[in-house]
Amino acid sequence: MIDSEVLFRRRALRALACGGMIVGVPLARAALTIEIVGGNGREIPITILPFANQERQRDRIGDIVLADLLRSGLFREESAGWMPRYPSEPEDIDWRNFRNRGVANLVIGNLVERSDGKLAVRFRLMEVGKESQRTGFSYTIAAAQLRAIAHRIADTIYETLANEPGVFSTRICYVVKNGDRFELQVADSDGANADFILANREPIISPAWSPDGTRIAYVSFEKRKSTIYVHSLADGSRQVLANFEGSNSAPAWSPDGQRLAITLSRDGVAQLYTIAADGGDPVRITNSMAIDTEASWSPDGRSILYTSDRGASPQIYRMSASGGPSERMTFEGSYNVTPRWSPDGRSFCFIQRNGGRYNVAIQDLGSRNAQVLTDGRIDSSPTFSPNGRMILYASEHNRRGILAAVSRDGRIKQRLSESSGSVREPAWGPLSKSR
Amino acid sequence: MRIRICLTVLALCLVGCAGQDVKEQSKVAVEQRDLLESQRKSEDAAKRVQVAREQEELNRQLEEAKRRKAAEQQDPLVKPLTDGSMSERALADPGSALKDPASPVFKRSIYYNYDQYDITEEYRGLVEVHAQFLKANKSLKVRVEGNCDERGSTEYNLALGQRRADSVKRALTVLGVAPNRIEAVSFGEEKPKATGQDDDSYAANRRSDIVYLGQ
Repeated sequence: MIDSEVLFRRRALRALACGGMIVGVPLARAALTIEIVGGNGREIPITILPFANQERQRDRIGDIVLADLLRSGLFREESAGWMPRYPSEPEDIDWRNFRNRGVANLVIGNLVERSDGKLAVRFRLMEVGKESQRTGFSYTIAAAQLRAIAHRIADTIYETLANEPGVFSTRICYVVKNGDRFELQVADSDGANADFILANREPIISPAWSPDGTRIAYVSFEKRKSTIYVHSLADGSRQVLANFEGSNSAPAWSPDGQRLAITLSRDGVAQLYTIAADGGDPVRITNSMAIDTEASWSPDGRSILYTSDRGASPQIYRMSASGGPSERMTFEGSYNVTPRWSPDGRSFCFIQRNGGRYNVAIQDLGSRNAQVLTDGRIDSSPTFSPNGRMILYASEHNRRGILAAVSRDGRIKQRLSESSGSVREPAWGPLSKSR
Repeated sequence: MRIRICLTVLALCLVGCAGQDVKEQSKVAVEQRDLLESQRKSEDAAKRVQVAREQEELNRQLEEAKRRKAAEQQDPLVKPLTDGSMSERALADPGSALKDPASPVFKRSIYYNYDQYDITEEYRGLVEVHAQFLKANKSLKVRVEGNCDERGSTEYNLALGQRRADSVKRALTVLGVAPNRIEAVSFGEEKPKATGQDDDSYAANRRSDIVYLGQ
């Protein structure tokens, strides 16, 4: 299962890099590097001992797991100090020693190189207080999958101790602008394994992952006007979803992956439509004289949040996914745009202008209380992590476009930057199906 | 008697001399008179020429004044750019009219206020000029490209840029240009002309460009 999934993805990316629609030579790129700017002050202690035999591999698996957990902002490292020999099985653990050092959650593991060249990886999360195992798994993988399996282990530990799904095995996509070259890139959520799936001399915006993570819809200007494409990650093939007169933009997948909400200006001003994922006739769902755009589906697929300037200033509205009357959701400020429904369906994040600044805010659908989460000059394009914990968005640092992330409570902040070019238009992919 | 003869001879001589002298004198006078006459004649001619010239100049000035006056009186009837004058020049060479900085169709950008898409008073003349030009050059087609500054939502800006382009298309259509000769597209905030992060740069990026296809 793991074998096929990860290998398939790697091959797919390599195949894409050689694909027909790619212009020019790939940029020499450094991975996105992630810097944690703040924490929530009540982190879970975690101790990860070196996995036996991990030194023989290019990446040290224990380090990747620890880096993942620390990057979430929910964990802090409780060092066990140097030991002449680190335990890798429960029977080797000197419980008293770890208790005395204040270790609460202990991760041990090992790697075994098998005769067929594959790796057997084992890990266990131990609860020192109870001298017992919380969880543990073994995996048989190809050596190239070591990073992927480290993210799986981090996800399991996160889920066990933080009581919500981990997102370390997920992927993100974003657009890198370098001079007049635009690349749509896909990377692991830690920024590693970045590769482009499309390179253009014309802009690319609004990438959106299909709910199963196999396709990305986006808007490309390569025909000198905005056109919506659906791009398959497995083989790099793609199809035009919408290329009507005027603008074709803002694709948003329905939760079942069958339809997309899109924005078309073919009947005058920009209005919302839905269209089958494999194309066909769009069905108009808004009917105003104003701009209606940026649809976001509720997780149950019944409702849509969107941006409209029907009330003179752009504000966020809610309507049934099949059309009908709309209800205004935002009232504070004169510019509230880009709503994104949270994965639990209880809130939405958006961009709010305050003074001259444009920031990420979050609003509870029940209480209608809104909170501004960021303080950049121009923040845009917020996208929820699939567990709803973090919001990834585009910001700027030293006059360059960067990606940043903030936790939904505003306490944890991360900055992701690339060594060259300007990064924007992020979209966080779904949870992996093979969990 | 001898004296008388002598006197007579002398007198005769004297008379003879005097007769000779009178003849000479009248000859000179005639010559002198002729000379004066011819002098006067040429002076008169020069004077006449001079007068004629002056008259001519006066006539010219008068004519010019008349023409000016006529032109002045005609002005209110003549628009700065009539169909005729535009087409004469533009039909001859529309390509160079588009490249000539002195040509009225050289300017092809309409600028907007923040979050606005209506064509302000300042740019209505420009849109009219392009409508005339397009009507005079039936083979030309245009793409109107709407643009926004970088602030705010990428997608909202794309829709706003489309509105800007569409409003220019609508204006050209109302002024008589066939809609199928005008394509309205939006680049949103994706293709900024000015890359600064100040009000001047933002203002330069809130714009519709009329792009003549193939020119």
